[in-house]
Amino acid sequence: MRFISVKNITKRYGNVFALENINFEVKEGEIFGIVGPNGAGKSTLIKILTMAIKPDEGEVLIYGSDFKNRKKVAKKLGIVFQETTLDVILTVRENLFFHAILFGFSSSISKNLIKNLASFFNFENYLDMKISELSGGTRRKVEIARALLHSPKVLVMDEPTLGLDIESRNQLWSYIKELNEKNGMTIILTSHYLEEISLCDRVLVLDSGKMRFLGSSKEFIKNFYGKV
Amino acid sequence: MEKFKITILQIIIISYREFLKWWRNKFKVITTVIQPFIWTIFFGLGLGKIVNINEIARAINYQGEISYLLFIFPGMISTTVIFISFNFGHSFVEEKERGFLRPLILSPTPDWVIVLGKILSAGFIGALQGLIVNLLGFIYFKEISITFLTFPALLVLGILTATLGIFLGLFFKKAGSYDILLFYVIIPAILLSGAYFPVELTPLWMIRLAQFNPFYYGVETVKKVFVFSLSLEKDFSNLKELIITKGIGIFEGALYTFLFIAFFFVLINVIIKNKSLD
Repeated sequence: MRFISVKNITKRYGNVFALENINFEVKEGEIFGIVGPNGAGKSTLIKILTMAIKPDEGEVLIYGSDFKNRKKVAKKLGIVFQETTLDVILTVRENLFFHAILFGFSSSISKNLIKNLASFFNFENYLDMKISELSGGTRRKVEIARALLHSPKVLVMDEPTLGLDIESRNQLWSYIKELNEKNGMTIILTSHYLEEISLCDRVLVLDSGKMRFLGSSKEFIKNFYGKV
Repeated sequence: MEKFKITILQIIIISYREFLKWWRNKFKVITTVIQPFIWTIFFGLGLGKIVNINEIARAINYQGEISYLLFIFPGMISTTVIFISFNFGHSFVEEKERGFLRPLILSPTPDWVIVLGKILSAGFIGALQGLIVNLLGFIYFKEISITFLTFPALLVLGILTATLGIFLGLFFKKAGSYDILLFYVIIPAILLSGAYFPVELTPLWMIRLAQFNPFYYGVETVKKVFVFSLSLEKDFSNLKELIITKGIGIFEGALYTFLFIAFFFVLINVIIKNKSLD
């Protein structure tokens, strides 16, 4: 079953095409990678997929809902942005608690969810620390935990491991694989790292806003290694 | 009913989040309180020497002893509230610009709830700082008054300013560009609100223009509350009569201010209905 369907989308910034005539679908339970050089349109595509922005042309359907009904599908999506969007002046607990309330959970349920996620991601000891006091790796974990608070069906991540050391990257990937394999969560992500792309089921390659490739990660590595 | 409870909780939590962010920035809290207090001293004691206070008293139909300091104090507090609450519009644009608004707008919480939460917190914080300045004035200047209606009047003005700030913020992508509004919209609107001189003393076209200025009604309400408070201090036994005579004016000012709030709030929601806040 196709949960996410992208039909002929185009997005311009002034006269520049950020995305041009993009078409693809994402299946339930797959890890879908979006690859491309800087300025390829990956982040714009992620913004459109998460319904943060509207395409100029074409349509994105998530569980059958379009941009106008974006609030309906919000609960099904967990989003990790490229730049941190955590409130640095607030603590980890406060950031997660406020997010849980925005997703309609009661105060007591929110507290339990935070406890469970902190234990899963191993940051229980940092719950009462301000975000500004955390390392880059722990911040990323908190961002992913926040995206997972409401148990979404799809986790969308824009460069989730950017700026992290190898150890933190491996640790994050083990979480991502676990979520995908144990919970059947669909994962869409962008990445610059070839070893991360090889962990995806399918890959979409973008260049200057255009689709260059859509297929399995094995095919991608075979065809593009050294070219992208 | 459950949905209603959740909506209320979401409004409270959005407001509380903004409040915490403000409260933890102690430097900002202190400087924004001290600044209007210093202004008041210089304006009140400096400008007060050259201003014809009797003419002002006649223009505002005030009977009794009045100094320029006493006249501008409610205006100065109103300015504090307006500056602080309007600054939340800057934060709103900055959050849009830097992507911090995304976790909110991509949540299932309706956009109007997010906007309302932000407006209420901005109004509350503005009013709270206005009240602190008022308390300092009350302690320092002696002639300054304070009453149970002061905070509600400041809150209404703060909410009005925050609503206007967020409405204007919708049209800006960069917080730096939004700041230009301070010089081209906010300061002229404050001057035309009667905060520093009675609008009644200005040319007819300015009086007409003031009638379309939302701040005119907000500041008028604050000033009327001050007059009420002064009158109450002088003769507490006349409370019932005061409520009837002065209360109507306060209610009228607050009602007009509410109408402006409702107007801008509806406009915000019409704009964001089909447009992302990102």
